[in-house]
Amino acid sequence: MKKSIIAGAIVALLSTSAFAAEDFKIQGATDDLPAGCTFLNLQDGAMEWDESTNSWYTSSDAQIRVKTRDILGLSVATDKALYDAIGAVDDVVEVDYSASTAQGENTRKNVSIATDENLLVITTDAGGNVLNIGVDHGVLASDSFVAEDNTSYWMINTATCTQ
Amino acid sequence: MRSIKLVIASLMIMAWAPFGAQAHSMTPGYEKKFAPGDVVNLAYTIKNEYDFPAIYRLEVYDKEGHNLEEGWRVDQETVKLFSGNYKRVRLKIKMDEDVKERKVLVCSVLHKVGYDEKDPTTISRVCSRLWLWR
Repeated sequence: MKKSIIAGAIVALLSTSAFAAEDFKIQGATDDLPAGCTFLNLQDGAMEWDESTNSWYTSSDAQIRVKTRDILGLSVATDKALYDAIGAVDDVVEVDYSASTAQGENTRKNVSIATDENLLVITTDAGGNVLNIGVDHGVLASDSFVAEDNTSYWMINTATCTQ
Repeated sequence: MRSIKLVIASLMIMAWAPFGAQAHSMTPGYEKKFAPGDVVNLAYTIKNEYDFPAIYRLEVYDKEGHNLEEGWRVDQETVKLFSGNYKRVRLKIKMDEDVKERKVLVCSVLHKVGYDEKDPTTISRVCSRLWLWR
Protein backbone atom coordinates (compact mmCIF):
# COMPACT_ATOMS: atom_id res chain seq x y z
CA MET A 1 0.00 0.00 0.00
CA LYS A 2 2.74 2.36 1.06
CA LYS A 3 4.74 1.52 -2.08
CA SER A 4 1.82 2.19 -4.39
CA ILE A 5 1.23 5.59 -2.75
CA ILE A 6 4.87 6.58 -3.33
CA ALA A 7 4.76 5.31 -6.92
CA GLY A 8 1.57 7.27 -7.51
CA ALA A 9 3.14 10.41 -6.08
CA ILE A 10 6.18 10.06 -8.37
CA VAL A 11 3.96 9.58 -11.45
CA ALA A 12 1.89 12.62 -10.45
CA LEU A 13 5.05 14.70 -9.96
CA LEU A 14 6.49 13.65 -13.32
CA SER A 15 3.28 14.37 -15.18
CA THR A 16 2.97 17.77 -13.48
CA SER A 17 6.57 18.60 -14.53
CA ALA A 18 5.84 17.58 -18.10
CA PHE A 19 2.87 19.88 -18.29
CA ALA A 20 4.84 22.72 -16.66
CA ALA A 21 7.77 22.56 -19.11
CA GLU A 22 7.50 25.44 -21.56
CA ASP A 23 10.01 27.24 -23.72
CA PHE A 24 10.67 30.82 -22.84
CA LYS A 25 13.04 33.45 -24.12
CA ILE A 26 14.69 36.59 -22.92
CA GLN A 27 14.25 39.13 -25.63
CA GLY A 28 16.02 42.39 -26.42
CA ALA A 29 16.06 44.88 -29.25
CA THR A 30 18.62 47.43 -30.35
CA ASP A 31 17.97 51.09 -31.02
CA ASP A 32 18.75 52.71 -34.35
CA LEU A 33 22.54 52.30 -34.16
CA PRO A 34 24.93 54.56 -36.05
CA ALA A 35 27.29 53.36 -38.77
CA GLY A 36 30.74 52.78 -37.39
CA CYS A 37 34.35 51.83 -38.11
CA THR A 38 36.73 50.67 -35.42
CA PHE A 39 40.22 49.55 -36.35
CA LEU A 40 40.96 46.67 -34.01
CA ASN A 41 44.42 45.75 -35.21
CA LEU A 42 47.11 46.82 -37.64
CA GLN A 43 50.11 44.67 -38.29
CA ASP A 44 52.87 45.52 -40.77
CA GLY A 45 53.82 43.00 -43.44
CA ALA A 46 57.15 42.19 -45.12
CA MET A 47 58.36 42.22 -48.72
CA GLU A 48 61.35 40.80 -50.55
CA TRP A 49 63.34 42.15 -53.47
CA ASP A 50 63.57 40.19 -56.70
CA GLU A 51 66.46 41.63 -58.71
CA SER A 52 65.63 39.56 -61.80
CA THR A 53 62.17 41.14 -62.23
CA ASN A 54 62.96 44.53 -60.69
CA SER A 55 60.08 44.08 -58.30
CA TRP A 56 59.07 43.46 -54.70
CA TYR A 57 56.79 40.67 -53.65
CA THR A 58 55.01 40.32 -50.31
CA SER A 59 56.45 37.55 -48.16
CA SER A 60 54.16 38.28 -45.22
CA ASP A 61 50.79 40.04 -45.57
CA ALA A 62 50.02 43.19 -43.60
CA GLN A 63 47.03 42.36 -41.41
CA ILE A 64 44.14 44.72 -40.75
CA ARG A 65 41.15 43.89 -38.56
CA VAL A 66 38.20 46.29 -38.61
CA LYS A 67 34.86 46.19 -36.82
CA THR A 68 32.21 47.71 -39.08
CA ARG A 69 28.51 48.48 -39.15
CA ASP A 70 26.71 49.82 -42.24
CA ILE A 71 29.86 51.41 -43.57
CA LEU A 72 30.02 53.24 -46.88
CA GLY A 73 33.30 51.57 -47.82
CA LEU A 74 36.72 50.34 -46.89
CA SER A 75 39.79 50.79 -49.06
CA VAL A 76 43.53 50.28 -48.90
CA ALA A 77 45.90 52.38 -51.01
CA THR A 78 49.53 53.45 -51.31
CA ASP A 79 51.01 56.72 -52.50
CA LYS A 80 53.01 54.64 -55.03
CA ALA A 81 56.31 55.64 -53.43
CA LEU A 82 59.07 53.41 -52.11
CA TYR A 83 60.73 54.68 -48.93
CA ASP A 84 64.02 54.16 -47.12
CA ALA A 85 65.23 55.71 -43.86
CA ILE A 86 65.89 59.07 -45.56
CA GLY A 87 62.63 59.37 -47.48
CA ALA A 88 61.00 58.47 -50.80
CA VAL A 89 63.48 56.85 -53.21
CA ASP A 90 61.34 55.69 -56.12
CA ASP A 91 57.98 56.34 -57.71
CA VAL A 92 57.07 52.76 -58.44
CA VAL A 93 55.49 51.83 -61.75
CA GLU A 94 52.81 49.47 -60.54
CA VAL A 95 51.19 48.20 -57.34
CA ASP A 96 49.13 45.06 -57.74
CA TYR A 97 46.80 44.22 -54.84
CA SER A 98 45.15 41.23 -56.52
CA ALA A 99 46.65 38.66 -54.11
CA SER A 100 45.07 40.40 -51.09
CA THR A 101 42.28 38.78 -49.13
CA ALA A 102 39.27 39.88 -47.10
CA GLN A 103 37.12 37.73 -44.85
CA GLY A 104 34.22 38.53 -42.57
CA GLU A 105 33.93 36.88 -39.17
CA ASN A 106 30.15 37.02 -39.58
CA THR A 107 29.73 34.35 -42.24
CA ARG A 108 26.14 35.39 -42.99
CA LYS A 109 27.43 38.53 -44.72
CA ASN A 110 29.02 38.70 -48.13
CA VAL A 111 32.49 40.18 -48.32
CA SER A 112 34.26 40.70 -51.59
CA ILE A 113 37.29 42.58 -52.84
CA ALA A 114 37.96 44.50 -56.00
CA THR A 115 41.34 45.78 -57.06
CA ASP A 116 42.14 48.85 -59.01
CA GLU A 117 45.55 50.02 -60.20
CA ASN A 118 46.60 51.25 -56.78
CA LEU A 119 43.68 50.38 -54.58
CA LEU A 120 42.01 47.47 -52.86
CA VAL A 121 38.34 47.99 -52.07
CA ILE A 122 36.38 45.74 -49.76
CA THR A 123 32.63 45.64 -50.16
CA THR A 124 30.20 44.04 -47.77
CA ASP A 125 26.45 43.78 -47.67
CA ALA A 126 24.69 45.99 -45.13
CA GLY A 127 24.99 45.26 -41.46
CA GLY A 128 27.70 44.54 -38.95
CA ASN A 129 30.84 42.50 -39.38
CA VAL A 130 34.44 42.18 -38.33
CA LEU A 131 36.66 42.18 -41.40
CA ASN A 132 40.09 40.58 -41.57
CA ILE A 133 42.12 41.94 -44.46
CA GLY A 134 45.40 40.50 -45.63
CA VAL A 135 47.20 43.12 -47.70
CA ASP A 136 49.47 41.55 -50.29
CA HIS A 137 50.83 43.71 -53.05
CA GLY A 138 53.35 43.19 -55.78
CA VAL A 139 55.39 46.28 -56.54
CA LEU A 140 57.13 46.93 -59.84
CA ALA A 141 59.98 49.41 -59.40
CA SER A 142 60.80 52.01 -62.05
CA ASP A 143 63.61 51.35 -64.52
CA SER A 144 65.76 53.98 -62.84
CA PHE A 145 65.59 52.32 -59.41
CA VAL A 146 68.71 50.46 -58.27
CA ALA A 147 68.38 48.67 -54.96
CA GLU A 148 71.17 49.35 -52.46
CA ASP A 149 72.57 46.36 -50.62
CA ASN A 150 71.71 45.82 -46.94
CA THR A 151 69.05 48.55 -46.94
CA SER A 152 65.52 48.55 -45.60
CA TYR A 153 62.76 49.71 -47.92
CA TRP A 154 59.03 49.96 -47.37
CA MET A 155 55.73 51.00 -48.92
CA ILE A 156 53.18 52.98 -46.88
CA ASN A 157 49.61 51.64 -46.97
CA THR A 158 46.62 53.64 -45.80
CA ALA A 159 43.44 51.80 -44.84
CA THR A 160 40.42 54.11 -45.01
CA CYS A 161 37.08 53.18 -43.49
CA THR A 162 34.21 55.56 -44.28
CA GLN A 163 31.29 55.62 -41.87
CA MET B 1 48.92 19.10 -11.00
CA ARG B 2 45.76 20.81 -12.16
CA SER B 3 47.13 24.24 -11.20
CA ILE B 4 50.34 23.59 -13.16
CA LYS B 5 48.24 22.78 -16.23
CA LEU B 6 46.29 25.99 -15.65
CA VAL B 7 49.48 28.05 -15.47
CA ILE B 8 50.81 26.45 -18.68
CA ALA B 9 47.50 27.10 -20.42
CA SER B 10 47.52 30.73 -19.25
CA LEU B 11 51.08 31.22 -20.49
CA MET B 12 50.12 29.77 -23.89
CA ILE B 13 47.15 32.12 -24.14
CA MET B 14 49.36 35.10 -23.18
CA ALA B 15 51.86 34.11 -25.87
CA TRP B 16 49.14 34.09 -28.54
CA ALA B 17 47.01 36.99 -27.41
CA PRO B 18 47.76 40.52 -28.62
CA PHE B 19 48.89 42.81 -25.85
CA GLY B 20 45.64 44.50 -24.97
CA ALA B 21 42.74 45.70 -27.08
CA GLN B 22 43.77 47.71 -30.11
CA ALA B 23 41.49 50.18 -31.73
CA HIS B 24 41.21 53.50 -33.47
CA SER B 25 37.75 54.96 -33.81
CA MET B 26 35.99 58.28 -34.17
CA THR B 27 32.54 59.63 -33.35
CA PRO B 28 30.15 60.85 -34.59
CA GLY B 29 29.75 58.99 -37.87
CA TYR B 30 27.55 60.29 -40.70
CA GLU B 31 25.86 63.62 -39.99
CA LYS B 32 23.53 65.87 -41.98
CA LYS B 33 23.50 69.34 -40.45
CA PHE B 34 21.61 72.52 -41.11
CA ALA B 35 24.15 75.33 -41.55
CA PRO B 36 22.54 78.77 -41.68
CA GLY B 37 25.71 80.78 -40.95
CA ASP B 38 29.08 81.32 -42.64
CA VAL B 39 30.91 78.99 -40.27
CA VAL B 40 29.79 75.66 -38.81
CA ASN B 41 31.21 74.52 -35.47
CA LEU B 42 31.62 70.78 -34.98
CA ALA B 43 33.42 68.42 -32.62
CA TYR B 44 34.80 64.93 -33.22
CA THR B 45 36.08 62.50 -30.61
CA ILE B 46 39.12 60.41 -31.53
CA LYS B 47 39.84 57.32 -29.44
CA ASN B 48 43.15 55.47 -29.22
CA GLU B 49 43.01 51.92 -27.93
CA TYR B 50 46.19 50.75 -29.58
CA ASP B 51 48.48 49.41 -26.88
CA PHE B 52 50.96 52.20 -27.61
CA PRO B 53 50.71 55.99 -27.61
CA ALA B 54 49.67 57.42 -30.94
CA ILE B 55 49.35 60.84 -32.52
CA TYR B 56 46.38 61.55 -34.79
CA ARG B 57 45.45 64.46 -36.99
CA LEU B 58 41.99 65.54 -38.10
CA GLU B 59 41.62 66.49 -41.76
CA VAL B 60 38.80 67.39 -44.12
CA TYR B 61 38.75 65.80 -47.59
CA ASP B 62 36.46 66.05 -50.59
CA LYS B 63 33.55 63.59 -50.59
CA GLU B 64 35.60 61.00 -52.52
CA GLY B 65 38.37 61.19 -49.90
CA HIS B 66 41.08 61.95 -52.46
CA ASN B 67 41.98 65.61 -51.95
CA LEU B 68 42.21 67.88 -48.94
CA GLU B 69 39.50 70.51 -48.85
CA GLU B 70 39.99 74.20 -48.18
CA GLY B 71 38.08 76.42 -45.76
CA TRP B 72 38.36 74.52 -42.48
CA ARG B 73 40.32 74.81 -39.24
CA VAL B 74 40.88 72.61 -36.20
CA ASP B 75 41.70 73.77 -32.67
CA GLN B 76 44.74 71.44 -32.54
CA GLU B 77 46.91 70.29 -35.43
CA THR B 78 47.66 66.92 -33.88
CA VAL B 79 46.24 64.97 -30.95
CA LYS B 80 48.56 62.87 -28.80
CA LEU B 81 46.74 60.06 -27.06
CA PHE B 82 48.03 57.46 -24.68
CA SER B 83 46.63 53.95 -24.86
CA GLY B 84 42.93 53.91 -23.94
CA ASN B 85 42.51 57.69 -24.08
CA TYR B 86 40.23 59.83 -26.20
CA LYS B 87 40.04 63.52 -27.01
CA ARG B 88 37.60 65.90 -28.62
CA VAL B 89 38.81 68.00 -31.53
CA ARG B 90 36.87 71.12 -32.48
CA LEU B 91 36.41 71.81 -36.17
CA LYS B 92 35.23 74.96 -37.94
CA ILE B 93 34.05 74.63 -41.54
CA LYS B 94 33.33 77.56 -43.80
CA MET B 95 30.13 77.75 -45.84
CA ASP B 96 30.36 80.31 -48.62
CA GLU B 97 27.39 82.63 -49.03
CA ASP B 98 26.33 81.30 -52.42
CA VAL B 99 26.70 77.63 -51.44
CA LYS B 100 23.55 75.64 -50.74
CA GLU B 101 25.28 72.48 -49.51
CA ARG B 102 28.73 71.10 -48.83
CA LYS B 103 29.58 67.37 -48.66
CA VAL B 104 32.94 66.38 -47.20
CA LEU B 105 34.72 63.61 -45.35
CA VAL B 106 36.11 64.40 -41.90
CA CYS B 107 38.95 61.95 -41.24
CA SER B 108 41.11 61.09 -38.25
CA VAL B 109 44.46 59.80 -39.48
CA LEU B 110 47.09 57.84 -37.60
CA HIS B 111 50.08 60.20 -37.76
CA LYS B 112 52.82 58.90 -35.40
CA VAL B 113 53.14 55.78 -33.26
CA GLY B 114 54.97 54.85 -30.07
CA TYR B 115 56.88 56.83 -27.46
CA ASP B 116 59.53 57.69 -30.05
CA GLU B 117 56.81 59.00 -32.40
CA LYS B 118 57.74 57.01 -35.49
CA ASP B 119 55.99 57.29 -38.84
CA PRO B 120 53.63 54.31 -39.26
CA THR B 121 53.93 52.21 -42.42
CA THR B 122 50.36 50.96 -42.14
CA ILE B 123 48.03 53.87 -41.51
CA SER B 124 44.44 53.70 -40.30
CA ARG B 125 42.07 56.45 -41.39
CA VAL B 126 38.51 56.67 -40.06
CA CYS B 127 36.33 59.04 -42.08
CA SER B 128 32.87 60.38 -41.20
CA ARG B 129 30.61 61.72 -43.90
CA LEU B 130 29.39 65.27 -43.29
CA TRP B 131 26.61 66.91 -45.25
CA LEU B 132 26.02 70.59 -44.56
CA TRP B 133 22.98 72.26 -46.08
CA ARG B 134 20.80 75.38 -45.95
